[in-house]
Amino acid sequence: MTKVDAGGPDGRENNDDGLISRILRTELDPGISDPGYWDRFRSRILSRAAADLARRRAAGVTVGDVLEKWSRTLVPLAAAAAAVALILTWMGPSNPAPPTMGIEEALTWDLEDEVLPTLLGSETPGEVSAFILASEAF
Amino acid sequence: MVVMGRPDDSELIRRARGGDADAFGGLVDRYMRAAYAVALSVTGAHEDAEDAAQESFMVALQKLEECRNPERFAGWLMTIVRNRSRNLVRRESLRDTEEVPASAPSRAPTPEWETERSELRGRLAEALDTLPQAQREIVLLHDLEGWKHREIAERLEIPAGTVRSHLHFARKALRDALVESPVREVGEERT
Repeated sequence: MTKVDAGGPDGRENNDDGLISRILRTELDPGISDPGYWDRFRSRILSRAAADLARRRAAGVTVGDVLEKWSRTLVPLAAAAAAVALILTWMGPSNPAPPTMGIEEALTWDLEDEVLPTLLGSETPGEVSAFILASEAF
Repeated sequence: MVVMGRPDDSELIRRARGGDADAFGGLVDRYMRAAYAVALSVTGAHEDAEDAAQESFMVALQKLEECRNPERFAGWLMTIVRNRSRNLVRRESLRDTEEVPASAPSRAPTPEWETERSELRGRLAEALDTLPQAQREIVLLHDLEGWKHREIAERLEIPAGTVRSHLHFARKALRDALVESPVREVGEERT
């Protein structure tokens, strides 16, 4: 048995204070008789708080955050695409495709500095006569 | 600010405002026992204290932006706990419910031991009930939660001398209540 003595100077702890503390703890702290009590207590609070915390996280996302998040994905992708394009350009096809030519270009190609008389003069007389006749017919 | 690798209340509150569950969990870890002690000092019943303390954390989270001085979070939270507990007691008294059974299950199965503990618990509850609320709160924060005089003074914004005085008178009242008959210390070897 423990006898509880009365009295004690103000503000100073004595043996009875320690005993009273222990009695209070033992009788009133649910974690003494149930060691998992405070873990469950905490879990219940956090479980109930989950929705509010999620809402706060969602509300905290700004346009800048979204852009930053996108940039984290897009910048490496763009860099990779540019690198691939550069490599392909550098390697290039060994036999380039023949240049295509429009009708007008085909008609004037290789005749740029030639005037008509010169052109006509280079032909045989028979060919020229045929050309003049054909022109008149049109 | 981080002290010895342990973030202070302001840091935890800043992160909790952004939805950081770990930060809010840190605040719960730090103050759940104190919240329970304060709630118990008002309600006097385990289940009510548990409900009030848990509810107070929910209210605190919802109103976190209203905590203008995060470094005084403890005092702010305890005010919420006190108010929620009083509201609960008011509601309970209106409902005129049955008395809530004692919370702590007995570790000693014998009827004599249970009777003795029950008597002790009853005397303790009566003694606590006679204390002014402020004394009850301080003695529970000190003895149940383990807050030092200085911590109680700072967190509840009460002069340190007042804390010491409340604690002294609370303990004296508890001693007087328990001195009427010798009590066996809980956990003491029975003969």
